[in-house]
Amino acid sequence: MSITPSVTPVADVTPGEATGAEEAGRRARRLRAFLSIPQAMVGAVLLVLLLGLTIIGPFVAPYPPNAISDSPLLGPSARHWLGTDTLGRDIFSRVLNGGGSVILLPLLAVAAAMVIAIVVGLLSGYLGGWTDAVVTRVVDVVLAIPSYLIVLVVVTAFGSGSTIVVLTVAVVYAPYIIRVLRAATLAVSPLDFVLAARARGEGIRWVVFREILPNIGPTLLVEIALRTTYAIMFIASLSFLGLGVQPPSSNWGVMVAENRLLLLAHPAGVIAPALLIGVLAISINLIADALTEFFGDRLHNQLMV
Amino acid sequence: MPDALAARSLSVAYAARKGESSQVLLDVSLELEPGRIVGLAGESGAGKSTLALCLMGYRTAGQRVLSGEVDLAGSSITGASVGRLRRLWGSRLAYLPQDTSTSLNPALTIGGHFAESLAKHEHLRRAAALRTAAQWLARVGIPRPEQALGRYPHQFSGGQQQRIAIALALCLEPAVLILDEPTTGLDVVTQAQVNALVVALAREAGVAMLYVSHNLAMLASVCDDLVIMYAGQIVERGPVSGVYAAPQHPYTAALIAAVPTIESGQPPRGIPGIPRSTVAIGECCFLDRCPLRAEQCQVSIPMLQVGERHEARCVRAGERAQTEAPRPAATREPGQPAQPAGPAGPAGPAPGEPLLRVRDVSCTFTGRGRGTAVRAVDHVCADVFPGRTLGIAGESGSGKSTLLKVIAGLLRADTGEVAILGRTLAPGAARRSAADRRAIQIVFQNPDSTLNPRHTVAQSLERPLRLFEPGLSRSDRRARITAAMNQVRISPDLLDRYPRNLSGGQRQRIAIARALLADPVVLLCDEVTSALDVSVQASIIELLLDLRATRQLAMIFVTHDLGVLRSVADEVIVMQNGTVREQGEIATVLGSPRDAYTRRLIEAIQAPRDQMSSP
Repeated sequence: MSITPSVTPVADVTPGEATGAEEAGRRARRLRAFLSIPQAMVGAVLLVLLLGLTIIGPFVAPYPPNAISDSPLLGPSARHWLGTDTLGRDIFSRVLNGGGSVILLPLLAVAAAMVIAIVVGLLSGYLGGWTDAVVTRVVDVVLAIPSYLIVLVVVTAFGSGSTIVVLTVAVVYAPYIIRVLRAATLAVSPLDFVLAARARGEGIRWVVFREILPNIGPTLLVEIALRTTYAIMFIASLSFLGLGVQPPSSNWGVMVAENRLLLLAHPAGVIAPALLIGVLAISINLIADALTEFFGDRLHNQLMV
Repeated sequence: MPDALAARSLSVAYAARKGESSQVLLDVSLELEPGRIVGLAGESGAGKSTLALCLMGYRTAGQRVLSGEVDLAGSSITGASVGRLRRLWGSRLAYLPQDTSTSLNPALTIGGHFAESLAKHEHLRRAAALRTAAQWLARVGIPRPEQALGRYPHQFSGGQQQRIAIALALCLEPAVLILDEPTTGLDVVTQAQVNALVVALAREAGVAMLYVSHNLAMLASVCDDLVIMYAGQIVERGPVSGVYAAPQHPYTAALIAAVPTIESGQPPRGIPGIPRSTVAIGECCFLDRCPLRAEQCQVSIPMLQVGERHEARCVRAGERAQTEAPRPAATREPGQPAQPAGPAGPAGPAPGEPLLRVRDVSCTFTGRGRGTAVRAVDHVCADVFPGRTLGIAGESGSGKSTLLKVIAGLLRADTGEVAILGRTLAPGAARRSAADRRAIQIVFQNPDSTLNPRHTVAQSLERPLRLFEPGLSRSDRRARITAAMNQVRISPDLLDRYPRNLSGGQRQRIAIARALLADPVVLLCDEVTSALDVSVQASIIELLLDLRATRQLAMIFVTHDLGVLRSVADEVIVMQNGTVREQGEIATVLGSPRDAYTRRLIEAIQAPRDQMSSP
């Protein structure tokens, strides 16, 4: 038997090249694959339309949002496409101006909640023991209190306004995200590459943020999309209740509240902003749904291999 | 008697990108006879699974049968309708997958599984089906079959689950059973028991069986005939006594040499080169890896008769019978001393002081509730010397991996201490000094998770250097990484790859390189080869032996495979339920085991079925 031991460099099996441009091509292919899911396509189109409306709206609006442009409560006409409200402001111009805070505030709130949740959730899942027990209990307690109640208490104590609302919503949502990220961390922590890093003596920051965090990407994305949907509805509701964005701002939630008494006589002032809030929430929810489908099993084993 | 199932000149291709197709089976003919077991062996990608699925008549998207057909009891199933195949599957043609999690439904009781398939194919009522089921469970050795019917799959051990799956496959009395690596996930003792059951049932029930595995030594102990595949072609076939004892094709010989055995300390030999992924037309398929290649190999090679029912696809088949010494006789008598230690380790007594000293280490896992604490490691002592390997053997759950994790500082011991170079180590890796941490490096079992999937090879490899030698310049780091990659025989071109673009063997080599870059004195290997193909396993073992010799590394090698252990270890510890059952020189322990448990482990490795099955 004269088979010699291998002394030349061995390249066992090489399934496909992947460097530089290849990697970029792979990303483009993945994006196309994602958009081939119907929910993703519909959600993305709706979201792009709404973002376009929100960004371009203020520049093309026929009147300033808070200008009293005509007599109050006019019906739809060529001059005022959606009529005017009780103060005589142009509803169409207010709709074009009112999207910014509806989209921005929830994004800020979710971003803040994510930062809290990534730090607390990952550390809790990775460290285990006492840290984990305390975090889990606190999360359970916060989740047991109705969200509106917390916001009411905070607003009563510190006053209303965008900053307070964003911070409170972040605190209210963080426990939900902590729970999900903690579970994802528990799935990744016992894997060999994490053990290898620990045995090597890597610091906790490296292990948690460089070894574990990149591997719970799918969970993170789905959670961001889902929480944004909820936050849009939640902050719009708070604005409607007078706890969030304050009049005379043209925020869609505020508009629904202002015009709601005249819903039957003068529906455009309520329906237009309500419809836009609904479509915005639905578009992001569709994307969240598609992300869940796209990552599929990978959400269970938490690994983007 | 007609063949139960026969493939005739089967050629199959898969559609690839842009209208091209790649051919994966070339002119494969195979006959399965009632009551006989045919073993199908080859490396990953040789076409074993494709052939097994084609024999079932199973069609996947993009698969095209170019020529040939599959006959079940004389009638072709190659173009059969899906409805007809559905009626045949289960009742005439049964398939047993590797993993019982895919063959048993976790939400269904065992009785429910039987009732469902017996009702569908035999139209049995539930009561009658359960009676049949109980008989079958008794036949495959499940204790108290009546009670077992009401239980769920997870309430049984892995071996019992596979027995139940076998009973389920055979309860419809199929003519053919195809087993796809049915014992790969099981430990050696259970593996031997399940295999013995398979052999007994094939004889009793007269079922024709095809047993697919990459483990040629195991197939030789179970099967009557062996079929060796390479690159979509059958390269050798014949009775076990012919193919295994006197292989005629160089690939068969290489495969056999790649499997480490417990008889000799000879390290297994890897097969150089890369297995081809498509069939070869107009030349010998093994040409580019063959040590005996010659001019006359550049034509299509037919199967040549070399003995009674023994054929090989090699122009030199038949010449080799005399020139080759057969494998060392695999028949063992209890108590027979093994051959003296081979060249695997430096002979003679271990020199001087141990590098690593494990004293009286215990480790307990506490479960929820009272009385659930499990002592995974129970007062274990061990010494490791420079340039030598300590092997730790035992079944799953014996505590061998737990001991390794205690040494690596990943688990805290309840009692005892670990010392390296005379320094006592802190219990957790985080509290050890950098010098202590770099002295002990660990390589893990699973090639899928040993590297961070989101880091490139370069990122994974530079961590130990950044951590232990922070002063190193960028170019020095690159040079060290390149040197380490050369040492584990991986091309530095792979530096920017992600692990998903690497094979299992490559990932394991890079994990070894990562450990070497820390410049350790002790390397801990936790089942590093058990997830790899035999030929890749052999090349990794070669690599480790080579590193041990050149760097005077001490190693602790944990494995359940005594053959692997025989080829790498100098001393061995046999563990069961956390305690050391036997400890000593490897050749002595495996050659004349004193402990009953060690004997059981050794007896679980069956001898090849030599003459016992000649017709």
